[in-house]
This record gives sequence, C-alpha cells and structure tokens, in this order.
Amino acid sequence: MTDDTWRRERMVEWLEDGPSDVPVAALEAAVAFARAHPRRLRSARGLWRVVMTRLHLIEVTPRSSGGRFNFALGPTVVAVVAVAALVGAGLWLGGGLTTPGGDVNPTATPTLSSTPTPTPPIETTRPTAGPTAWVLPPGWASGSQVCVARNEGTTATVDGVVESRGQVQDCTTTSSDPRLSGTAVITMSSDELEDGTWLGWGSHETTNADGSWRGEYAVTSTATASVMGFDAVSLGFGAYEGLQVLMHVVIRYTGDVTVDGIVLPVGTEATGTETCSATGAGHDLAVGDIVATRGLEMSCTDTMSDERLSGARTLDVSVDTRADDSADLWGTSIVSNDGGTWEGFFFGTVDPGYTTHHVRSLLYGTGEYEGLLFRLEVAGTGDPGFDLRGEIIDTR
Amino acid sequence: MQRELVERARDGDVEAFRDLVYEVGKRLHAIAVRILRDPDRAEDALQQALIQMWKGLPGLRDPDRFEAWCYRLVVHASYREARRDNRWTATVREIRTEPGDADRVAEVIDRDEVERSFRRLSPEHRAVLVLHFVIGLPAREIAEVLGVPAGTVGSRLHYATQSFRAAFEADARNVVSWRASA
Repeated sequence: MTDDTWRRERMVEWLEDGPSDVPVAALEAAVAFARAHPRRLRSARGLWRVVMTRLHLIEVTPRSSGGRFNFALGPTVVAVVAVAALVGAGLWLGGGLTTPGGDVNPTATPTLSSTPTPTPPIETTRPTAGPTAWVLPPGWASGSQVCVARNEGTTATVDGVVESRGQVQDCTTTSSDPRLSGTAVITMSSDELEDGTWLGWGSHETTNADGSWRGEYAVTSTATASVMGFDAVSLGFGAYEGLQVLMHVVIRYTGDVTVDGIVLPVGTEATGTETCSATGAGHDLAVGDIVATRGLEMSCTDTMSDERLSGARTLDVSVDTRADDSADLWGTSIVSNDGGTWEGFFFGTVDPGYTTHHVRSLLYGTGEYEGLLFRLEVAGTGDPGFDLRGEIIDTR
Repeated sequence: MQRELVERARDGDVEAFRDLVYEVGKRLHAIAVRILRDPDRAEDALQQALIQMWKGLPGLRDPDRFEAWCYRLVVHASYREARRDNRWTATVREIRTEPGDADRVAEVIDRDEVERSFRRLSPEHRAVLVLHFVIGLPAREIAEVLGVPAGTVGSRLHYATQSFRAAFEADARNVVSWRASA
C-alpha cells in the first residue's frame, strides 16, 4: 500500500466515522417551527401581477406590441436612473411623501417580516426624516422617463413575502438639462410584504454622448398608493467627472414618471473609519439559490474628519448571499450625534468570499442638520474597520 | 415517494414536512458535523437548514432536485455557523487507552493527525471532501449542490486532497521531530 493510498484511506475512514445519532431536538424544532408558521398556497407570479396592478404601476400591453410596458416600478427605477447616475444612494422616504396631485405616504418597513426562528421579530430601526412635500426648486431641471422591460427577473414567495429579483429595464430619460437626458439601464429587486407595503431597490446608469451617471436607489410604497416618490444621488463619469446629480423622482399611477434633478459639483469629501459589532444576529432563510439573512442588527462607531458626520450608527441589515459568498445588502441606518441625526437607506454589494464591502447611503439630516443630505460610501472588509467617505449636500 | 412528500410539503403539509425532515435529517447532520467538527454547532446548522427548507420549499420548482437542494442548505448553514464568530472550534474526544495497547495508541495518533490535517482546510474544501467521500456525490452533483462549475469542484477536490496530504505530512514530520527530541 502506498503512502498516498494509506492517507486517503485514513481520511475516508475518518470522514465516515462520525456520530450516527440524529439530533432529534433539531428535527422537532424545525417541525414545530413549520407548525407555528403555516404556509398559504399562493402563486408567486400571480401575486406579483396582482401587486403591480394594485399599485397601478403596470400597464400590460398586447403581446404583439413587443411587450412594452410602463410600470410603476419600472418608472420608479427609471426615475431613479435618471436621478442619478449617481453616486449612489438610495434614499428611503420614511417620513412619507406628498406630491401635487398625489396621496402617498410610504410606510413600508424595508426589511422582511419573515421570522424563521422561533424568536420575536427584531424591531426595525426606521428613518423618520425626509421631505414631506415636493415643489420644483429654483435651478432644478424637470424631466420624464419611459421604460421598456428587458428582463422580468425571477419571483418567489417566502413566508408571505414576494421577493422579486433581477428585473432589468431599458429607459429613455428626457430632461430640460441635456446632461441628464439619455438612455438608461435600470435594475430592480423588490420585496412585497403581506400587508401590501413594498420596497424596491437597484442600480441605474444613464448614458448620453458625453458621459454617464451611475448610482443606486431605493423606494417604498403601500398597497393603496397611487404615487411614489424618492430621492437619489448619482455620480458623473466621462465629461461629468467631478459632478453629481441630486434627483427627485415621482411615479404616478397613470404611469407618468417625472425625474427632476440638479447637477452639483462633488464637494470636498470627509473621510473616516467605522468599526462595527453585531447586536442582533437576525435569521436566515432560503430563497431559491440565495441565503437571505434578515433582521441583522449592527452597532457602529463612525469617526469622520467632519465632526457633523461622526457618531454612533445603528443599522438594520438585510443580506442576500449567493453560492460564491458574494452578496447584496441593504437596510436602514441612523447616525446620531449631539447635533442631530442622519437617517436613511443604504444599498451595496459584497465581493465573493464575503470579503470587500461596497455600500452607499443617502441620509437625511435632522436637528441641526435639517435640510442637509449626507452622501456616504463605505468600503472595506470590516477588519479591523471600514473606510468611510462622505459629503454633506445642502439642499436648502 | 420522496417526490410526493416534497410536493405535499411544498404545498404546506406539515406532516409531509416532518416525514421529509426525518428522512434527510441524518444525512444533513452527517454533512454539518463533518464540516464543522463540533456537534453543537452542527446541530444549530442542521436546525437552520431545516427551517430554511420549510421557508424555501415553495421556491423549489423541481422536486427531483430536493436532495441536492437540501445539501446546499446545510452546507451553507455550516458555512454561516462557522463564520458566525470567525473561528473553528474543535471537539476533543477522549479515547481511553490502556497501557500497552500499542495498536490503540497508534490509532489515536493517526486520528489526531487526520483531525489536525482536516482542520487546516477551508470550509469550502471541507465541504467538497465531505460531499464526495461521505455522501458519495460525483463532481457534477457537488457542483449543483454548491452552485459552482464542475471544474471548480474538481479543482477544489484536488486542492483539498493535496492540502490534506501536505498538512498530514507536516504533522507527521512534527511528530517525528518531537519524538526525536524527547
């Protein structure tokens, strides 16, 4: 017998030699969980269509038309795209939005309600700041957007939450500022909770002959909403290098999407570091090939070169992890210090192997920071901490 | 039979789910305990995987892929369990030996060397070894379970085996040195 064969046999014997008892407690705990969380039979795809119809966001046209749509979420996304180009930031209007002619008050909680472990749901930290009305400010460009779905993505229902992933839309944005006009590609994922509240998020890139604007967005709505609105910030590339766009997007039940925006120079960025620890482990569930972690709570200490941006940051995090351990993550966060708070939504990715994070946020100021936006980028592995870059944008 | 159980469980039948849990639980536990080398954490990983199974069954479009899907759940639950505090803990099993029981002592040394060698592998490499040598899956099916290309499985299997061999040889050298200096 060769050494290799001997070692291989030792390894196989050792691998095969393990506990043969089944931990019945674990099996029964899972069965008990199933009994406590009965599942209703619903068609995920059908539900998605119902949701879209209920939101008045989708207009289905005959097949012969080439599958063109105008949909709410699409517009949203589109709008977002338009918005931004941006550096990214998804902004969650937790305080609600009232638009001329509209009646929206988004109250969605941007985390899933699923609780796969028999523990009480973790309370979500929810941003409460945000614009409550929208009138086109002086200096802003007005615009509109039309989209065509390229890929409807996939949809699955998990514990009553309709999870749609990977929708892609091709859009055309027309703005009174030609720098914001162009063709846009918007990706969108969304969660529809059982009570009809809805959270969508994704990325967008608007391109024209001179350059592009790139960023991320997030938007919430309710089952009865006829208007959705949100803000976003995008960064410029090409001829727009050094510029950013602050955008406000409104999607009406009619399918009309307005994309208002203003181009601003990227200011001097503050830099700093962030150290975090988990204060709530959350829970995991499987969604197709994805492992979905919900309700993860983090507590961080942010130290920035601009003291207004330093403070204690709490985060409520959702993570979708793929087989290669790359991930999408999103959630809400609040930075608190003596001057007030910065509250908003974040969105980002993690590289394969769950290594480097790339996270972007757009946060609304409260207290002394009322009327200010904080564009924040977080990067790094978290070991020993994350690198922060950010800028205050004065919207007053 | 299993397909019918899967379809019923997918439709919300808890009793069918219970039958499924008992049918696959032993194999899933075997995977978790060998990847994690810690019975408590393996039990946690198993429970998480089973709960995910209940949650995720509606999204399982092909009931014939149920077993591969379960293996994936428990492998990833094991990854997460291992990553939870970023350390791999060992289970120390005491094997009593009697003086003069040379064969038994040699077995303990062998097993200890294997254990140390295995512990040096990444969770991804452990998973490939376990799925191949314990569950008996071919590379193509391991690829499906792990959601990676078959070529990646082949390279991981090769690397894991080689790494195991290198670690094993390093440990053997250390034992020789220790014995020589004693």
